[in-house]
Amino acid sequence: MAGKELIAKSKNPVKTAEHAPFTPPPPPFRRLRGYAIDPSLSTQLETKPISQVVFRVPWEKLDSGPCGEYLEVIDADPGSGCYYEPVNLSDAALLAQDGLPPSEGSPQFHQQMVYAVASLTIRNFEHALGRRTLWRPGPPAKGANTKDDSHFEPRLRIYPHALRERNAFYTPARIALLFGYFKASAGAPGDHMGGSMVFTCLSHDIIAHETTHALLDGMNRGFLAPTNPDVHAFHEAFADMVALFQHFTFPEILRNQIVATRGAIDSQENLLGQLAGQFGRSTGLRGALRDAIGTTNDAGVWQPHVPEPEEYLNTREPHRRGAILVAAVFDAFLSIYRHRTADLLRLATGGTGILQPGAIHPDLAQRLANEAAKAAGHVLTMCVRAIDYCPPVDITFGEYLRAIITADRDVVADDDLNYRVAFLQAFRKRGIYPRDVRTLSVESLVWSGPHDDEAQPSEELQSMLTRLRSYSAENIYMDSRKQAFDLERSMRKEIHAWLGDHFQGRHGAEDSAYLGLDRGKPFEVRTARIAYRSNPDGGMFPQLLLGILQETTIPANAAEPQGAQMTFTGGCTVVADLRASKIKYCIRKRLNSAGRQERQRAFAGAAATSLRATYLGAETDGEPFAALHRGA
Amino acid sequence: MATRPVKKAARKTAPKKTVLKASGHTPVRVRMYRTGLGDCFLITFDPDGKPVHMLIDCGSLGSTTTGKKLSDAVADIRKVTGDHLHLVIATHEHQDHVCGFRNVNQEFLKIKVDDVWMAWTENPKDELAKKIKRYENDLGQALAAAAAALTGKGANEQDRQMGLAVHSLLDFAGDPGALGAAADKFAETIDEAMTFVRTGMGAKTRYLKPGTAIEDWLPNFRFYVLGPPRSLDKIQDLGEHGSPDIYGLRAGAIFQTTDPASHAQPDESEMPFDRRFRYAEADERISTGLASYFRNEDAWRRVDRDWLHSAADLALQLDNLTNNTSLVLAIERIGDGKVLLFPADAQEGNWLSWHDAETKFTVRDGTRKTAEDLLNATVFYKVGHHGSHNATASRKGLELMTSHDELVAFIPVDRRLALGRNPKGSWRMPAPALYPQLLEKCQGRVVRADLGWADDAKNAADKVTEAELVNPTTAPKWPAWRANQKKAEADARVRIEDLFIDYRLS
Repeated sequence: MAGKELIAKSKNPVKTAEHAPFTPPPPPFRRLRGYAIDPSLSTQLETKPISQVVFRVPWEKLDSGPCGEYLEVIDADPGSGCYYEPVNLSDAALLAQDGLPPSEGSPQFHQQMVYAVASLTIRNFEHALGRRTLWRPGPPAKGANTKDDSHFEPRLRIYPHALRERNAFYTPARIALLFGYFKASAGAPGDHMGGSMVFTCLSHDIIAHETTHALLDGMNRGFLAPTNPDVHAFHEAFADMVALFQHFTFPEILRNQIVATRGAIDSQENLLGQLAGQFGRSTGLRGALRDAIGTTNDAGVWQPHVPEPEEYLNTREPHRRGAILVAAVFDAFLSIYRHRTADLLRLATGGTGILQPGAIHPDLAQRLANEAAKAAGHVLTMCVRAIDYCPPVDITFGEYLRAIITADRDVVADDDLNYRVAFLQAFRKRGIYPRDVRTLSVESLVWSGPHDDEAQPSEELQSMLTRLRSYSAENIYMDSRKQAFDLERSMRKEIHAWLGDHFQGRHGAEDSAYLGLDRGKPFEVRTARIAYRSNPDGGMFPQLLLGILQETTIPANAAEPQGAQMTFTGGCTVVADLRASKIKYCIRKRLNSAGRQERQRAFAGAAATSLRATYLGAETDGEPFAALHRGA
Repeated sequence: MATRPVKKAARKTAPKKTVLKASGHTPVRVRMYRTGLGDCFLITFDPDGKPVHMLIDCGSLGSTTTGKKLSDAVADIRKVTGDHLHLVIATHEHQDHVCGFRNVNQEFLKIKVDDVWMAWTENPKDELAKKIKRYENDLGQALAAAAAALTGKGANEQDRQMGLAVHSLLDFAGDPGALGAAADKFAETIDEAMTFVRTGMGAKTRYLKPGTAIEDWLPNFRFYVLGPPRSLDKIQDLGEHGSPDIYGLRAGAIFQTTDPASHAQPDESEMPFDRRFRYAEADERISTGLASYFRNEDAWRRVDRDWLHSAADLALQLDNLTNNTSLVLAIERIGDGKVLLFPADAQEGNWLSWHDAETKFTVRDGTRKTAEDLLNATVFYKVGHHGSHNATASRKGLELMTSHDELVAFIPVDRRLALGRNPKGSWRMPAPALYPQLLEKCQGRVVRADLGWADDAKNAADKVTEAELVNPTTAPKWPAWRANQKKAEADARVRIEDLFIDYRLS
């Protein structure tokens, strides 16, 4: 009888106006299994326990592909003349088991892996940046102006099996990541079985690296124009840094490594250097990065690399040069980490700071892991935030250091843990200095502000900032990336129109000079963004970030004014406080800088002599990363 | 194309017989044939006494500037040598060095050849050489297949251009037109040329290794073998990242260019996944599941041929590899120690290896010689690889050639032809950066097969071809350089004719 009653009840459920249908709370994460570093780790005893992790990526509605808000995985394999069925991660069977189990033999798992790591990278990047990111705009519609950038492209495409080679790259021309696969050579199989297929799309570091290229390009397209040896190297280094510090966000690995290498705990750089070493190896860069951080000597003992300023002067290959920058940042991280954990070690050792032999206490391991994760997070945030403070084109490592220091000082007034000094010291050891700083100190590295700049903006120019306040309000409440894209475009239009008029007016000459521009030439407002920074006192203030560019042509050979011409770009990044309506910094790359023109000529001249340029021409056909990674 | 009048040698009257053994040593004449982009050098020892003739290479990719053909050169060789060559050298397996040994081999059959020298890399019994040849051949085939796939049906303009560039590069190594079933014939023409030199001339063939000094071949002269190096790394010089899987590229490219009607199956061992995972575009799971890939308005995002683009870099590797197998000879006149340097097309890796320990020479009288000594004493330099930038090492090469008052450089080049290769305008030979350095080192005594004496490029008759070589910083030096050129002609060191240019070490 009771059974009947139940059936009857369920047929006639109590339903009133006050009862909305039950909706479960949205899950905070989507849990997806994957390889922690790359598949080779699961075949080695020492690394088996940490070879797989569960990535916790932001929850979003996913179509099969996977295809979400930021990413679209398309598994076309033109090299093998076929396609693979897209995985549907919203399938209940997959939701219930944290996605597909890691497997090299299933293309659907490969799709899951690239989606998971790329999503995680985007999340970590946005977390550090403090706002949502956009990809670069798509190509202009047929017949439109070639500079038209109104084509909003919401998703980065990921092709996990697009190439048959040991390569993976980001292609700006298609806003896509292309991953390759290849057979491990029987002669030098490395960690792989000779003759087995190796997939670059299964390496955490390669996915994170390539995704970061796309993120950085979306923030600033000017970093793709190789005008000095640092530009491409910077792109590579930045991508490496984001991928490297992402390792520290996996607590399982971090704790395991801290416990496992306890013998080296009195020189923590050893342990963390090893982590970085894995990274160098798996990207197939023949250890460029690993060598920059440290090497294992003949006796199998790992030793940190002793930096020498000559390396920065003499290294030109972008990956190797970039590795110097990564090593500098990693060095800064190590100093910070040492500083943060010195008290812990003293507490754990009765004040000596010298550990007894044997395993370390699990609590200590946990606390050390926490500190490492925290320090890594801080360093990554400093590095990402600095992008807003970089010149719009022609970046050098020295200027990046200035950007890191300035951005950090704006947010953290009291540097009680000496983060900024740690950076300065790490860069100085490697001979990386800004070109135009007379003395090297944290104060002198901060970009020139209103108090010490060579030029001053007019009152009118600053008053323009008040007109832009309404955008700030809109910016706070927008809820889609498309809106952000449109908002930026209308801001850029308004600023461009205003500046164009202003340059012809009473203060035109002085303000165009202040911005490093030639008011007789057309200019482009490339970026106009609003960022919210928290004051040291806890309040928030809106900041306007402007990138203004101008192009001209100069003779490729200074002595031949009528000879071949090359493009020369100048402009500035303006960082302004919208609440106070004041320009804080104007970071210029003057269009008329003779020194810069000469340096760019010399750099272009050297590039033109490569074997590749001899036979294939200097053009890269809009694929700056493809050949760079092939390394011919 | 019409033959442009080349600089006529007005001073042709320089009396041939009056130049006697002024130095008291056996004179040597080096004759560079003006047969375009390629090497053909006839070296005659004691030309006015009992001449001994040696031929280094006979090849060309064509000549548009002088219009001279290899057959013209061989006719002259037959005449000058009286159909007797004491020594023939084929430096490496590239058409621009050896194609004459196939295309005009009927002429060569009329010439008596005593000895043949080749690099150890051409020795069919050498294990390392075999390994290199196998790799070169596999790579060549993979690239020929890739070039065909890049230029095939449905290719866009960018793909096509890359395919043409690969094709142009492959012309050095073989016959990129040989495809499909004939793919293994890729290197056939060049193989025929090399086989002809090895066995068809009826001569004794000797394979040379670096570090060898040949003292017994000709009295008063020593022949030092500087390259190719015996180390695979130095020859291969693959750059940062090693070689991609060429077999994967080849399997894919061949599969793609096969006629679908043949229902050929791909090589399963080269496929990344089991058959059960692979679908064709027509399958509904793909046409709907990946619909966005096939959308017309998103065609710009497709990646159909990107995987073939590695072919361009591999083609560079192949070219570099074969160039590095170049036999490098330094010929020393023992009496005064003066050296004639013939590096063929050796690239950076080969040049640097000359300074390795195994390339130190101890000759019969006990004297030790290093590459540096030989470079210091060089008075005639056959410029490597037609004057391209990577084929003349600077610090370990040109800068060590310190016989400033005497040094003469000959560049076997046809700049106009080189610039016409794909992609147009990119083959820069001689290289704009190297050219002024050479001129400076030689104090103006630089000779080009296409133009004769080097001249200030701003005076060039063919402004377009020479435009890149215009270099105003050299302007003030030209008067002195021209005077040096005149002097070299006056004392019969250099003699310019329509068909050839002679250098004479008196």
